[in-house]
Amino acid sequence: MKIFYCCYGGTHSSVVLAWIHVGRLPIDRIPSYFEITKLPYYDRIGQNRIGVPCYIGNDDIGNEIFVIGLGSQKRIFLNAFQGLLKIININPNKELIIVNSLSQLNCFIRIGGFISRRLGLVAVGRLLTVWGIQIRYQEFIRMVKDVKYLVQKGKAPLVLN
Amino acid sequence: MIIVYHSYYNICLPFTAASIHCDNTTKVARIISCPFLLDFDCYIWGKLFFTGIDSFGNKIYFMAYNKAGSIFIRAIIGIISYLGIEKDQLIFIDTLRCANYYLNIGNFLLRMKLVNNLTKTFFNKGLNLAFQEISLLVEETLLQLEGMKESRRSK
Repeated sequence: MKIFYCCYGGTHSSVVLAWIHVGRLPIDRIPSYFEITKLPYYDRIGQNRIGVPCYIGNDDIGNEIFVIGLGSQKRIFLNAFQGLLKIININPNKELIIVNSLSQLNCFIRIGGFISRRLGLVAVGRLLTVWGIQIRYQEFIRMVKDVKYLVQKGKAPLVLN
Repeated sequence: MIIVYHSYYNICLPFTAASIHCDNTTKVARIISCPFLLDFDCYIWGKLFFTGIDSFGNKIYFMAYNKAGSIFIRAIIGIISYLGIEKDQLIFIDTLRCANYYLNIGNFLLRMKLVNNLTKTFFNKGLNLAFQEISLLVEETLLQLEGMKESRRSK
């Protein structure tokens, strides 16, 4: 199964969730600033790369993990995407899950992401996003555990919020 | 192969292009008389509407979206390719290059929820002016398809 963690730009919360899922980030403690900022794709995807899925790795049961940024039009994207899956006869429940990580964001991650990616003030923005992620880290772990549980039970819907 | 004509905000341009693609004798009057052309609401954004099958056997669809179209298309093509479907099985064609001031004003009036004779007049005039450009876009698409068919044959 393919699991796509998505957020606005596909470079902060979704990347952290994906790396927790594949086991590169710890689930028993909060990672340090350097552990987070040294993750591939973290705070490094520019505007012109939003929408391109990035492969992260395989988890312990062989699911492929990706991150993707869907911009602000996620509902419209899902409309089109579900329509397209029907046309090409793909049963999404057996092949993929799109996990929306926007529900995990707090104001530090949002503002930090904007400052870093939009305004180009990377040092300040990155610091804020990491701070925000460290605050919400337990929720991130819980979300990944939920995703893993639903995938193992075969009960995962196409879109998980 | 699936071909999707798409545009920002309104289905007017992609619908016209898809109609011309399926039947090159399509006239503007026929498109304007289509009841849902000005029946604008956000529920249509992202929905794929089937138009027909062209002479190559490709399925033709049209679609409109709100904004961030390039992200949208990149995401769909990206995910689809990871599902084992070849990228060239799905072609997205942006019809926005065919837009003109009349269509833009018509769209603006639609956005203001003003569906009246004035809006229809703008769309009629705009579509008449854009028709040549849309036909050219469709012709380019057909040439592209023919080229792809030839390259497959030579392989």
